[in-house]
Amino acid sequence: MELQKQKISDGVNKPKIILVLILILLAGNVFLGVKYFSVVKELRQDQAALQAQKTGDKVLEFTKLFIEKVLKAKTEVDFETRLRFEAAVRDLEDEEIFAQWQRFIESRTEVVAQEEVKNLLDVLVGKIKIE
Amino acid sequence: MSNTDEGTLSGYAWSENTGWINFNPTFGGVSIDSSGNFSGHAWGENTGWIVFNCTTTDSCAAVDYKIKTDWRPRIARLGGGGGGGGGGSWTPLPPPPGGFLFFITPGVSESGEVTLYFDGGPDAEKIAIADNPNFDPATYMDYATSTSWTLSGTSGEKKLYVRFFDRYNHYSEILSRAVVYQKKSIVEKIKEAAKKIVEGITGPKPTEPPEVIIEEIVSREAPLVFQGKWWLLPRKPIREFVLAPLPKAIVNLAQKFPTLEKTFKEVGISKITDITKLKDVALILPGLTERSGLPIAEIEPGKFALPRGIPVANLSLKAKQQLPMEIVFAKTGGELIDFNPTLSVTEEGELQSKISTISGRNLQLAVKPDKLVKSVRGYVVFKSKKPQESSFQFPFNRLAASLIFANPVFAHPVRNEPLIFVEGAKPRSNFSKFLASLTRISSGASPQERPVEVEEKLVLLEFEYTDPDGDGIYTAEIQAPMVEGEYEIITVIEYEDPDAGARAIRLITVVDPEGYVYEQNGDKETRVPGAIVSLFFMDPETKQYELWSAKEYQQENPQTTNVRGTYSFLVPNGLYYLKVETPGYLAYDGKPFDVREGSGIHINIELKTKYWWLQIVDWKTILLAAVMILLLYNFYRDKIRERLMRSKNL
Repeated sequence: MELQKQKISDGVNKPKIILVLILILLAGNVFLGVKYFSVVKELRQDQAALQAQKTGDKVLEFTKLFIEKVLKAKTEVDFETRLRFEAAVRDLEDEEIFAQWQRFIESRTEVVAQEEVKNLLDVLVGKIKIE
Repeated sequence: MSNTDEGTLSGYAWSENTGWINFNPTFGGVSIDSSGNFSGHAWGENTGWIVFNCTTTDSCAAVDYKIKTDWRPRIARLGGGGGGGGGGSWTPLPPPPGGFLFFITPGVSESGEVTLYFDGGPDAEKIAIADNPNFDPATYMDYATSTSWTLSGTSGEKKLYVRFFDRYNHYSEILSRAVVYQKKSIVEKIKEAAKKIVEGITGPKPTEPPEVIIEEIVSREAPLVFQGKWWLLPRKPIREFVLAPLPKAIVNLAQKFPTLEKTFKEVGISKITDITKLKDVALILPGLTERSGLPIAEIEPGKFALPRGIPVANLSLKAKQQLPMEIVFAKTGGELIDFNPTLSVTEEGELQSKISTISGRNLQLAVKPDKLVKSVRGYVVFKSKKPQESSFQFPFNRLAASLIFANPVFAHPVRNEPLIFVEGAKPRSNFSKFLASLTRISSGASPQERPVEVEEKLVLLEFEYTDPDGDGIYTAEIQAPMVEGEYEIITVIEYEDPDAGARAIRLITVVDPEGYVYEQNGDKETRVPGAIVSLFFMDPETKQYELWSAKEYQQENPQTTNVRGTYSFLVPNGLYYLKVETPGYLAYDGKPFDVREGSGIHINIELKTKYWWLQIVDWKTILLAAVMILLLYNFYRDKIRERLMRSKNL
């Protein structure tokens, strides 16, 4: 009789335990899901901040290179250096700088070139952010 | 029986068993579709309804009997291959200018939804669209320039065929266009939806830029800007900026103060760009006595004297002649202490001199005009509650503009700035007249000299300089404002020569509060009245501190603090220390400090009480201690009583 009662009570309790387990697992899933999304969001923000910092460093490097190889140049800027500039300006991934760079290299007169150099330096310095 | 060219049957058929069959009865009718299948209902006079489309009635069940012919309606025969039912020849539709047009967007469709665009010319009235060149089956619609279309079937390239035709049986050629149907699997759709949700929460994933082959973009021939033939930086403005001489204002100032000129030479300040060398440097201008070339200490054999200025009236004629013009000198302590103004540049880029004094103290001012004057007036104007930094700071961007230095040193043409008098300041009408004259003069000033901005000034005091002995040096004595803050003493010299106009000389005066003696009570300070504050001065000869001889400077030493616990000294340069004594407090012996600019001593001094521990042990603490002792005594008595009881029981 006792054994039978035990079996009946076991039979009644089992579904409850399973339901509780399912609920716990569901809650765990929801919790981990929310956690995952928040971590991914944070990661994206950090990546964006890192990207901005990297861009700032790149702009600074490009500006240094420009001053050294173009503004201080006594002779013609060689092909290799121009390749380096083209790669560097594209690597900045900044439309404004790229557009200004294009305007500069397409200058047809000395006066225009001087004006575009000023504009380019203005854009470059404006993009350098010091934290 | 007859057939319209569109496949609609009419008329009657005869059978000897069934009698007449009507192919176009009321509520019925039979037609042939583009595949040649008969559909609809005919009426037999003896047999009733004859159904040609078995699938439309329940009685057919799963049976799909059909009557089929190889004849095709006219539209179905447009593709040219529709079998030989006969009837209808193909007449070309005249194309529009530029030819017939048919295209599909987008070229690749994931959903299967595309838009078809047509130009069939002005005569086109219908369009036939099909996914096969035979237009079997095909969709027929009224002509429109565009229509939406849903691709069907499996993924892959789909080809659509189009033909236009008009109402006169004129047909266009067959036009075809291909479109890629990239049907997404359910997994892909779920993936995409999940990606959208994730991106909605976390933001879009950064995309990679397209690959570019740099070597193909950069030409072998260097562009003009890289050929090294041009000056890329404009030389003229750079030359003008770098090699520009010192501003006239600074040159004038250096001329008026030879020590400053010497400093500039030694430091190498000769161009405008050199001014940055003076950034964050405090330049102290000499006081009146020093500037007039006189010794600032009376040398007597065997005795050292404190640095002492000389009253203006006592200056020799030569010394008076040597005094620079349009510079306001400030003195105190019966003209025996010279203020050494600190030279600074304002945020607006104006040179200004600044002195510090203590609230309520007398100030003696002296100025030597350049020419004969109508009047020399002074105004004490409130500037700000919190004194600003007095270091020599040059805002470089403004400096570059150089406009600031167009102003003469200290003495400026007067500005047309509204001055607001404080209630009680007497000469209001006088001032109005004066203001009107200022306005007149200002309006005649050159554009560079006109004020850029209009300031509002709070005039606390108006006073007049006088020259009783006619030596050309105008003096005035005023009392420094009682409230601490930054003030401006504006001295306005109105020359008799109308061309010289009026000149305004500004002297910034920082009024420091008096020092006070206090006792700290928690986070509050209690002022200590009646404390004796003594100031000691170090004799450089004996290296010993002596009580400062304040009487020579119209002051007292030692001083007894008033109810507010305040004290102050205005002293010449030197090394000093303070001592404070008062009953009930520990004596205060301060650390020595250096006074460099002849300014005030106003240190706040904290005194400690002699019996400081009494503050901690108050009556409450004593009472608590007494209760504790009594309790302990009670416990002790209880223990003894218990022991006695036990011993008695035993």
